[in-house]
Amino acid sequence: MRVVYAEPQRLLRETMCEALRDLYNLEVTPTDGELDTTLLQVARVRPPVVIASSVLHETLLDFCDRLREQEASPRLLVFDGIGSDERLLHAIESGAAGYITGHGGLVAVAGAVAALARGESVVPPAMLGTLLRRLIERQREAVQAAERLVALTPREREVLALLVDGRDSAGIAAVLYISPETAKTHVQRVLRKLGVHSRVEAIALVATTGLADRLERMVERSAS
Amino acid sequence: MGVWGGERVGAGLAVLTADAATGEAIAHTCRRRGLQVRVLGSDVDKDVRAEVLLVDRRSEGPPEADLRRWAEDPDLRIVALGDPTPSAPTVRYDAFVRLDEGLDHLLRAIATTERTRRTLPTVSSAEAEELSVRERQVVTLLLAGLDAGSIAAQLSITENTVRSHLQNIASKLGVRGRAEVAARALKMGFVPGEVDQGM
Repeated sequence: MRVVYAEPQRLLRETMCEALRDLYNLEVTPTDGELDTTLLQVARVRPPVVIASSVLHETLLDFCDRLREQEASPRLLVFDGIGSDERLLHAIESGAAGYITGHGGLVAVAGAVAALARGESVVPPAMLGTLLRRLIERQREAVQAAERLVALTPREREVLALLVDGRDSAGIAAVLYISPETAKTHVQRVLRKLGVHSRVEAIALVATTGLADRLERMVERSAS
Repeated sequence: MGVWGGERVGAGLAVLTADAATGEAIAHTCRRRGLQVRVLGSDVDKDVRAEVLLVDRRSEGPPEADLRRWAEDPDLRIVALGDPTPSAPTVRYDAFVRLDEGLDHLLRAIATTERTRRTLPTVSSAEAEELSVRERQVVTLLLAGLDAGSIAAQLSITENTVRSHLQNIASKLGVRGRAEVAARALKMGFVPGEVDQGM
């Protein structure tokens, strides 16, 4: 089976590729872990699975997005030798189809590659509990934030939407044809109802709970 | 061959890591190049019978006590894999191999530590002679894992002086950065943390 292996750390790249090739018959094409060079190899090799080193976590989201655009649309397996709940969560949220640590040895890595090629998803069973708990937690946070959004008046939602849009009180006042003082009062009430202490926190709350679209729809609905 | 039977023979390499996949991969590539290799989990409590012990320092490694016990064996060379900054001052490392360096580098480090085992002087080499007394003190404290501030405090000098010492040392040794100074100093036979006040 053909696999592209994106690993910037030379020692790991050289040893892992050679071992997976020799011991598990994988046709491994190594890359330096840069997005562009990896996509180039993916376009050339057309592998069903791409393995990405966990040190690439900052570009993982881009990796997943760009791989989906590829004709072969390979599935991404994150290999994290040491393993961490944080990185597992990040990998799954970025859109990786699998995450595997080094604890199970090479046989587990090769098994994960085969499973992804079959269309399955892979998460270490021992880490599944943590993953589910964290995902549920995030879900609950989003629901709570959505409830607080509903508690806002239509006007306050407009104010919040403008805040998220990056406007200050004067800007909000200009858009809504109200005085800057009134705009400030609205903002204060929005912050209080959302249970946050600053504009930045309010914006972060909307952004991190994925409510930006929902807020926009609510504002549009009340405007029409 | 009885490398693991308690008797120490041949070019035995032991890889100590919690990352079994990477351990196996390193073992496989080293075996193909003629080394005898054994992969150990990080919870190992047995006697290590090898010429060279490769310790993966990316995660919580084996208990310090185990490493220290192994380090007491003067015939066992210990090579650290990963971060080259010595953060475990109680354990001696004979060489450091970074993950972004290639397999050739690892093999060279293993070969070098094997070869220097009998010839490595505990006193300084010619290069170290060129270092001043103060510079040698800075190097030994750097090897012990102290940062510039702690070295300064230890020697009752300013942090800036420590920095300028480190720069001079690096240029004398022909290396760049503290990590390289530390790695080089280890190869030269410096022992972490032993400042000879009489010098």
